[in-house]
Amino acid sequence: MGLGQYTDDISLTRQTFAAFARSTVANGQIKKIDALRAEKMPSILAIFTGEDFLDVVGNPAGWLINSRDGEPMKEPKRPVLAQGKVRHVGDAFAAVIAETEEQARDAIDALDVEIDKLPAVIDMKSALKPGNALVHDEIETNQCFD
Amino acid sequence: MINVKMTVNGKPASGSVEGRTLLVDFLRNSLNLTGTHVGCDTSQCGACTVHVNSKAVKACTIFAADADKSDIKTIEGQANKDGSLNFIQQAFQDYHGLQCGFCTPGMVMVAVELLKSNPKPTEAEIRNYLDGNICRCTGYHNIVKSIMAASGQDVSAIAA
Repeated sequence: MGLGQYTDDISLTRQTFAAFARSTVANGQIKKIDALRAEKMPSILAIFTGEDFLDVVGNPAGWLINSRDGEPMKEPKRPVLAQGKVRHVGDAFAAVIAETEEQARDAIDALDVEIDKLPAVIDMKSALKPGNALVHDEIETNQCFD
Repeated sequence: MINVKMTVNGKPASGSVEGRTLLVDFLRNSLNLTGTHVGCDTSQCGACTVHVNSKAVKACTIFAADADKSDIKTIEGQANKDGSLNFIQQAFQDYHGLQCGFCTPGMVMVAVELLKSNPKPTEAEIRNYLDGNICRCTGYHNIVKSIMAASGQDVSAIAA
């Protein structure tokens, strides 16, 4: 059989493909994303970075909860593409739309990127220690709720 | 570009591919055989399993160019001649051997290979053989049960 139609099985006329550039570090400052070479590659339709979504509110948490003392949880902004900082390995910081998947991926590889690696926390206990790296600077703690 | 010719589900197939084109992408994008799925892109999940010259192979692990002149079988070629499900597919349906169904083509292709070489596998042998196939719904019990049933064995001892 094999006739099921999953999203990836759909093929439409003039269909386009997205590929994402993702962080290879757990915490980093984005210094440069230069798309000059990438945007000149064949069939590249658009290149986006976090800067293109500054006026877009981040992905909301679907389930807001309160701490035991009733205080609402701290909700980070979670931008659709990383802005300024990458916060985990795999954090997407750029997206390319192209006519084929291969061309989109090639353009991602052609981005000229500089990310300064920052100290990261990799376990729960050190995440809570004051002074250690923060995932979301604006929240001033790594504890979302208690 | 490289010209390739192969037999896919008993029919001749040909096309022009890049050196980097994976067999799974050739099957899906050039031949429109989208029953073979890409679940991970890193050769871990087994959703793209096909048969290359009668051996189960993850189709994301070989280039289309390397499959030149090969005999390929995919999930689209597994039904009986009259279009009905083959005995393994039927068992997957009867024993609810799938949840979302995304990994099922790979599971069936591996099961077909297993039962060819080992028509009455034990539960442990089945689980061992499915080592390279991941079900993200974690529906393993019923997959094992389906393969046991397809081999004509009692399934009552397998956990629900």
